Amino acid sequence: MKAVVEKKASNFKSRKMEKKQPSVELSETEMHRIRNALANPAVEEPSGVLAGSYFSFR
Amino acid sequence: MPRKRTYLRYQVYRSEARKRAAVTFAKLHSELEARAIVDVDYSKVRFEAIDASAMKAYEQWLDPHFCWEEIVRWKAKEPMSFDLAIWFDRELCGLCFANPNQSRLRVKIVRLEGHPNEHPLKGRIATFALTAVTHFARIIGSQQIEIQEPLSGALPLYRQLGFEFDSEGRLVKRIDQV
Repeated sequence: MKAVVEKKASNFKSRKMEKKQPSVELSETEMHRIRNALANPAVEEPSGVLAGSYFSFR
Repeated sequence: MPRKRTYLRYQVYRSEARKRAAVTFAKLHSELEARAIVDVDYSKVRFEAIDASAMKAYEQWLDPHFCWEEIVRWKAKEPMSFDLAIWFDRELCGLCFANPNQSRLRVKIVRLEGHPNEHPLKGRIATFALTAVTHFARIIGSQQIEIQEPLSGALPLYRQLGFEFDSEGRLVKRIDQV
């Protein structure tokens, strides 16, 4: 009984670890986009502000 | 107490996302260098928190659009938020602040600003920032990134990076699962 409980606990732990460790790598599609944006940007990025507002957290 | 725990947990996620962004660009730098299409040494790009050093460097910017001093207060109020200072060597080139919604399924880029004058990463701040935010979103399990009030001049670049307007008019990108 004790062994079963321990096994369950260890399975739960490893599942939890798997869930908490997403892949470090970005997808190849993502890497391709970044590579392209660095090498051949679609447009000259405007200087200064790129996004956002004067929104404020209360 | 849970807020404190959340803050510390997300501190680890923020730090990990910045590290992963640096690794991604180191890898890309080697690739682009091998193909002789690199004009900037990406190994000098640093991804840091918006801390006292960033604020000191930001104070030297001439005519910035946003008041980034507010971010220090926001960071304390939003324990799950992601703040990013993009440096080239010792020069502060860009600042970004993003925040996940309550369900954490969507990370919203609240502010993104590059150095208003000449700097070594000119034209690439959005690419660097969005890559770091993508890492952060993946770490916390988000499915989507949204850019709040994107500058219209940068839209082609956002599209190039995979963003599209959804049916509600929000500029979003789905996070690819690897």
